[in-house]
Amino acid sequence: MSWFQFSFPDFCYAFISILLEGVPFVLLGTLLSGLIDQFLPAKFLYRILPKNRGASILVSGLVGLVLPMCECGIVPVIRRLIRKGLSIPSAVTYMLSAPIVNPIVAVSTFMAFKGQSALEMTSLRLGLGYLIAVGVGFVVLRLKPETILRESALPDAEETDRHSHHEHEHEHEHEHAPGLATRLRLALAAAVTDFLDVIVFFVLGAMIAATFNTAVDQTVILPLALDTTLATFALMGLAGILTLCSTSDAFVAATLTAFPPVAKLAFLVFGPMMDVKLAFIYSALFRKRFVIGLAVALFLVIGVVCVRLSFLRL
Amino acid sequence: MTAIVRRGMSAVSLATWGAILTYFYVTRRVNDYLHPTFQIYVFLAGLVLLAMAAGTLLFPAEHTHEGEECCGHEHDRIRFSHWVAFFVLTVPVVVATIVSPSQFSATIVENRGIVSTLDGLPGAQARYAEPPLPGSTDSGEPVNTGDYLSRSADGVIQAEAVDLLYAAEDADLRKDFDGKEVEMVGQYMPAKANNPTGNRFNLIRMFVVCCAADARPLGIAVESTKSERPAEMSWLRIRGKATFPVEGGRPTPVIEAQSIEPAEPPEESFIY
Repeated sequence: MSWFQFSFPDFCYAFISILLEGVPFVLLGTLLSGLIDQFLPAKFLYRILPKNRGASILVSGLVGLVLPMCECGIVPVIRRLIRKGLSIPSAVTYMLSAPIVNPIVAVSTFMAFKGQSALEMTSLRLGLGYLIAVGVGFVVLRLKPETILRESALPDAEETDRHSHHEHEHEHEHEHAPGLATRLRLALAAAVTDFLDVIVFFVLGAMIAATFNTAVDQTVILPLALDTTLATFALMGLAGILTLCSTSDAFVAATLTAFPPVAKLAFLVFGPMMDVKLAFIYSALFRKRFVIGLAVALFLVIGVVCVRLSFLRL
Repeated sequence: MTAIVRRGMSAVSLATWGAILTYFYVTRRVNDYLHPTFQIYVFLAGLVLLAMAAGTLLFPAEHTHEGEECCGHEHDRIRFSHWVAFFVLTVPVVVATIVSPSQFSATIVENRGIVSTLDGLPGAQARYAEPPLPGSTDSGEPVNTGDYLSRSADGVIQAEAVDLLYAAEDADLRKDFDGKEVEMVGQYMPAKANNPTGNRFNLIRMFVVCCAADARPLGIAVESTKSERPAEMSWLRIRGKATFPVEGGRPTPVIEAQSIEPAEPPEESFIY
């Protein structure tokens, strides 16, 4: 049997199921982004996050504990937060950590791995997820914003854009303190724009994910389970094409009993940070080169770290 | 492109998504796609999207920071061209909604491998640990478990694949099924492994954690003397004796079929 057998009806079935599962969360994220746009004061984040950028990254990696977001809905939220003054390194850290370092994922991972060193696996998942996200944040700290964000998402471009409104020939009075109804309407408009922007990428990602999800013979990776290194990278590859939600992926990982625990750990850390669907969603905010670099770096770093952790007897 | 056309395209896109999500929920077609936990979110999202579509048409924004209409003109900030984006937003989801058969083919079962032991059942470890299984108390004392079993009108135990997989692992639970007549509904797949006498096939049910994309085929072996085999993935109702022969060093659930009939798909095709 070939390792790749495409069936259009199966593709459509998986495609629709991914959409039905993910769209409500993308919508939630975009509604939240609209509210952030209109109701979160611009200086609010400056006040609550540490002024030191390194400390801000460290704190951002833990924000998911109080503001949990799934990987599907987080991009529109951080896009708005960046425009509201959140530094890009802190935003990237939050984006990568929140789908893992949050109480829902902690509970689901613990439940899924009962009888399989649940406490250790849960702690390692959250701990490694945090460290990887913070590490990426510190790397991003060294990069120029224009090498990370798409031009339209750059905070400066946004500011320029806003200022340019006042330079138009047909300028008129803008309300500086619009009423609640107006602000809600503007929040709706922002949410609509964000939803349509992100959902285009989500659809493309879901199409790729559905193709691999249905056409690839997933049993071909079973022989790789015997070698820790191959097993680790194979399960990360599997996470990349399965595009599971971080709240439920542990239940799937726990069934991969032929694979060593560190390979399952890699599956659980890599999957919520990067998969084919997320790569497209990230492209709504980040430059293509940054997304590719992030994917490669996460794949290699998480893989190597997990292989190095194989001395742990989980 | 005028702002009005652009606004109309946004509204149509939102309305398409809202209508499709609402349609899946109202017609209960969503049962074939999602775990029940997530189904209500589909309905709520559908309603919100329809409301957003109406709001986009009726209440055009006068001033946004996103580069839509502002001061009577618009800033082009969308990455794809508007028409390509409109196409991507509407056509694939509509086509997939029409084409999707609401169940996977045999290829998917082969690609994912049939789960025939509890080890491969998502969440089994958690459920196995607590709460206690019906066959035992916290202190390990056996209890009468007959009450939890659902039965047909003529008293035959209606078993699910999950029941038999758990029973294979737990001696107390196994007593409730072993040697008794059971009825099970599932999909036919040939047995390409674990078929020593060549008279077995698998009765499949898809087990879902989240959505159909993560569905795992659970298979119970059925022994039948009938040489005639139905089409792959067709729904069958099997009646027969549940047995647990030791194969590969562990009890393995096998139904010795007494009757095999075509069946309608159950209202909920997944098990959770």
